[in-house]
Formats: sequence, C-alpha cells, structure tokens
Amino acid sequence: MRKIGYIQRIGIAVTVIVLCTFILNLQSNQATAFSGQIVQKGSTGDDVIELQARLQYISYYKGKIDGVFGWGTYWALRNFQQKYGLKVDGQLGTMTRQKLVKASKYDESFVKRNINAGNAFTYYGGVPLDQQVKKRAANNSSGNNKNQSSNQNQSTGQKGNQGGKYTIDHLPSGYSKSDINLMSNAVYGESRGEPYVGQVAVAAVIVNRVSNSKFPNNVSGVIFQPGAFTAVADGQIWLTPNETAKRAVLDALNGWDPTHGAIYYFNPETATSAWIWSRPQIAKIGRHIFCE
Amino acid sequence: MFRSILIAILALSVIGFSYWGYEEHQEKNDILIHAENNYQQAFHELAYYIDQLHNQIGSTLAMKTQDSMRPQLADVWRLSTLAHGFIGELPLTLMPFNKTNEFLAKVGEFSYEKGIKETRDKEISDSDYKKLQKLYSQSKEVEDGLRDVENVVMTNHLRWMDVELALSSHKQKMDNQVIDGLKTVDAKSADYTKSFEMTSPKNAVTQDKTFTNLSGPKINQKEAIQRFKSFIDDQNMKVKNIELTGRNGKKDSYTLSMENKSNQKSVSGQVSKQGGHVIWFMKQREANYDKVTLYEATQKANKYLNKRKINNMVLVQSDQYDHVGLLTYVLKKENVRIYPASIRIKVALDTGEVIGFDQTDYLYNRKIHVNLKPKLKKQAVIDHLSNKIKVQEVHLVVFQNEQNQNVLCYEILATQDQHSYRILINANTNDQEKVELLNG
Repeated sequence: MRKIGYIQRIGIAVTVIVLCTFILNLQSNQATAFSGQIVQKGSTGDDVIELQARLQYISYYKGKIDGVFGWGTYWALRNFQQKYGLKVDGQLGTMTRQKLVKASKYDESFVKRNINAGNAFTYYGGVPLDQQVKKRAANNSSGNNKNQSSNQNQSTGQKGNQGGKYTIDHLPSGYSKSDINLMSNAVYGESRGEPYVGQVAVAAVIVNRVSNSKFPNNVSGVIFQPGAFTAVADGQIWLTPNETAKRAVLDALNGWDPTHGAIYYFNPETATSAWIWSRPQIAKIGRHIFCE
Repeated sequence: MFRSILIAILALSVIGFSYWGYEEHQEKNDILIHAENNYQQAFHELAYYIDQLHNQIGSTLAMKTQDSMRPQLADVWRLSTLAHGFIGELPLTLMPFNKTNEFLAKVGEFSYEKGIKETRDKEISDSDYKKLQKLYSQSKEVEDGLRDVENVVMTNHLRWMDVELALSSHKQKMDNQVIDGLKTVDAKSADYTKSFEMTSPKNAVTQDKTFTNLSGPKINQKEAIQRFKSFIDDQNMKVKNIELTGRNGKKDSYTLSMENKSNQKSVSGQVSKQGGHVIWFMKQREANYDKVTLYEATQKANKYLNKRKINNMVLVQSDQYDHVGLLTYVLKKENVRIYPASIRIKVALDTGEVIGFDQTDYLYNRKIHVNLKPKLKKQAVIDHLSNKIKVQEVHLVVFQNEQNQNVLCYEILATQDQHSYRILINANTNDQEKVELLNG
C-alpha cells in the first residue's frame, strides 16, 4: 500500500513536470516567430528582422531594421548578452534567444508591413507605433513633384516586391548598388554569349583594373574609360543584364579571379589591333584571351 | 538610249546618296553614343566621389587631434575638388545645382583650413567637431539624392542627351525623371539609403607573383586532373578543357573546366603545377531557395577546410547573398590574424554544397615574414584615439597597406553613435594605417 502510494506520487510528479514543460514550450512558441536556428553576423532574412526589432524594442539597437545582420546589430547583440550575463559571442543561440524573447516584444505585422512599404520606421518599446513611422510617399512630396515620386516608387516597387517579398540589399563591402548594376551592364554587354566562368573573368578584369594604378580607381571610371570596352563604344552596355551577369559580378567582387590578374582581354576572331597580340597572354577562357 | 543612261545616272545617284546618308547617320549615332557615355561617366564619377567624401568625413569624426585628422582631411579636400570637376562636365548649364556645389565648396574650405593650412597639433574644438558632423550629415543627403537619381537612370534607361534636348527646347512639362531627380537632390530629400565602404577591392593582383614557391613536387596534367577531382570530391566529372596558364611567361598552373553530362554539372578551376594545390574552383550552378542557415554553412565550411588539411584558419567574415553564403577565413599565427592570407568559401544555402573556393591570397601570403611581437602596448595605442569613440574589440593583425607592405597592426573595432569603424594602427610606430567606416 505504502509502496504504491510512493509510485503514484512519483507518477504525479512526472506528469506535472511533463505538463509544465509542455505548457512552457507552448508559451515560448507563441511568443516567438524565431525559426529556432542559430543566427550569426552576415545573415539576412526574417530571423534577423525579428532580432533587430526586438533589440530595438529594448533600446539596444538604434539602426535601421532592414534584415541584414551587420555591425550595428552585432554590437547591439553583444551588449545585450553582456548585460544579461550570457556568453558574449555575438550569435543568436538558444540561451540568448530565450532571454531576448522574454525581455522584449515583437509585432511582426507592424514591422513587416512597414518594410514592405519601404517606410522609414523605428520600433522602440514604450512609444506609440504610429508615431514611429515616416511614410515613404510623405517623404517624397518634399521633392515637389508627384510624377517623380510615383515613378520612383514603381521602379523600386518592381524590384522590392518580387513574389510579395521585400529584397535585402546586402552587398560586398566597398561597392554600391550602382557599381554592381554598372558592372553587370558591362559584363552582359561584353560577354553575354560566354560561359559563366568567362563572364566572371570579364568582371574580374574590371576589378583588377580598379586596383591597378594605370587605370582609373573606381568602377565607373574603368568602364567608361574611352576605348576601354567595345560594349561602351557601341552602346551595347545599355542592354538590360540578366541574373547570370549579376552573379558573375558578385563572384568577381568577392575575390574569384579566373584570369589570374589579367588587365586586358580580347576576342582573337575580331581583334584588329596588333598591339593587343603583343601582350603576354595568361589564359584563354571561352572565346576571350586574357593577358597582362 | 538616252532614257536608259538617265535611269542609270539616277539609280547611281540614289545609291550614292543613300550610302552618304547612311554614313552620316552612323556618324551621328556614334557621336551621340560618345556624348552620352561622357555624360554617364561624369555622373557616375560624381556619385562615386560624393560617396567617398561621405565616408572620409565619417572617418575624420573618429580622430582626436588635427594631426591625426590631417591625411583624412587632405583626402576630403581632394575629393571635393574632383566631385566639383565632374559636376562641371554634366549638361546642367540651366540646372539649379547650387546646393551640391555649395556643399562641396563648404567642405573644401573647411578641410583646407583644418587639414592643410593649420600646422599646430591640438585637439579639435567642439565647434569644429559640430561643423564636421553637420557636413557629414549633409554629405549623406547629397549622396542619397545622387544614388536615387542613379537608380532611376539605370532602371529606366534614361539618357542625358534627352535632358540636354529637353533643356534646350524648354519643354519642361514632359516627364523627365533625370531633371526631376536632380531637383530632388537640390531640395535635399533623402530617402534611398545605402552605406558604402572604402575598402580597396584587392591588393595582390597587381603584383607579379607566381605560384612557383609552393611545397611539394611538380605534377603533370594527369595528376592535376586527379588532384582537382579529389579536391572537389567528384570522380564522375569529365575534362572538357585543360591548358597551362600563368603570368610573366611562367606557365605555373593548369586551368581546367570539367563537366558531367549526365547531371548537367560543370566546374572550372585552377591547379598549381608546383605541389598540385587547387588554387580556386567555382561550380556553375544556381541556388534558388534557403534551407541551410549561414551558421550551418559555416560549420560545413569548417569541416571542408579540416578535411583538406588547411588548419589554423579563423572565420573573419560571413555574408549571406541571394541563397548563397560567403565565408572568409584568414590564417592565425601566434594569435595574430594574418589578413593577407585569406581563403573564401562559397556555400549554396539550398543543399549546403560548397560551390566555390579560392585560396589564391592564402597561397601567396601564408609565409610572409613579419615580426609578430608588437613594440607598443595595446593600451598605449587605444589612449591615442579619440575619446568620442567606444572601443569594442581589439585584435593584433597583419595588414597589407596601400604600399603593399605587410605591417603588424592593432585592429580596433569601435563605435561612435550608430557607426562602426575599423581602425588599423601600426603596432610598432603608432601610425594610422587605415580607417574604415563599416557597413550597417
């Protein structure tokens, strides 16, 4: 009799514990939309948006909520970890996530709505939400031309709303979006028929020229240097580039160089200059010969 | 008879005239494209220099004394002049572009006064600091405005020639986005934001280096193919193309491309002749969704390096682009980060496959000779910095400066308001090697 009671008691205790953890789990699931994965610096996406919003809610993060885990977010997270006695590693792991969810709130629909609309907004705790939004359209009317603002919204809207999803501008350090656009245009105009590695090679030549003292020291200078690229001379640079050209440009900017430091290239079938043949050749990639 | 001669003459003259007309048309077209390209160049250069200007002013804000500010301010002065020059090349004779010009003039004046003319070393007065901060925020507005216009120009294929035509015909009513955009810049509306860094794109490419001093015996073509296959861990690839390549007439490596016809996979890469090291490879494939996180991609990349016996590497940067994770590692020696000896790994975030690898810089620079014992103490270097910035992290690093010298530095990661800076101070001389405003 006594023994059974003991077992019963254990049984009850176990059930209580199981129930408790179950309820706790349920609660934390309700409280967070975090995917539960570890998030580190350089990441982009929904987890980062939530991380930034939550850190801003408790005033650790003062930058823009844009879904890119950059330096600002990194310091904010580290400060948070330090204050809360967590391991300071600048990563959103399980412990940090639990503490953060406990300490802050996250209104997903508010944040996502404003990101999608391209509004300038903040998400500080204790401040009414409608005071933290600066509408995009209102901002533009100071430019005193309705036509322009609507057109601009259209052009950014096209890019920003592919499949109902906002895009995140995350670029290799040191380059602007228009540098990448311009390079994509040049690569597409120069080498759209080439294999992928050949397109990376053309982009790499542009990068190599930027860092070479004999050439202009920025992307637009190199591309528009008179006589440098045939695509510029015949206007083909203004064709609309495809995604492959863009990817090739990103690879080249991130350091891949199939040309081994080449600063010239030419198509042996169409090249008319005798000088170009005198350059020491490095490699032939696709139809182009790359040289020093 | 007479008639047929007349017909022949007429026919000839028609052909002649149309040829002449065609030539004229071609010529005019060429000139138009040429002029358009000139304008485009001037505009993009202007935007670029304003970017640079913004960053340089930002970097100056982290300095304590005028002496340490001087190089930065001299650069600001130079950039303001250059930007000024490019505004002059744009077809803006009728355009109200006063604000930008005025801003540039103010920047030029301030930087000349404080950076070049005055030679005493003293701390910056609070009013000067405020002035700088103001110029910094103004440069941001101008920069954003120009970027906006640039964006519109690029996406809508607008031409500056049209602007000039519109201006000369005084038809202001037409929807000319370039003109409107420039007016917006003038009205200082800031909306589109993008921070821009000033890291140099690459430091090793311009040097005449070869892959001849690598460890291991020389290999032949067949061995190169085998090395490559086992490195990318795919024995089913067939060689499509292989050739000996190299600079300075030294054919020191094999460049090859391979494919697998059955699953449409293809890969290109380079293998050194000496030692048979795979220098780089890239797989031609797209990733269209995210399933693997950047963190998991890092774990995979760590394993990838370990498996290939590349040890003592430390992750210094990780970035997520369109469904691709890019991880940058550098060599760590005696607790010093050797930044020039870097390796990049690209991981597709759909399956976690490593689709790109590049150890060019690592192979070039892993054996550089730099004394890794600093003459100066960490605290002495930190004390010399502005008290307006907050030091967050300090590392001892080897950095390749603009003269291509490898120097031992303290890398100081610091913040000031929302801005993050990387400051590289020579650990032996206390010279400032580089100040960089970091993204986000």
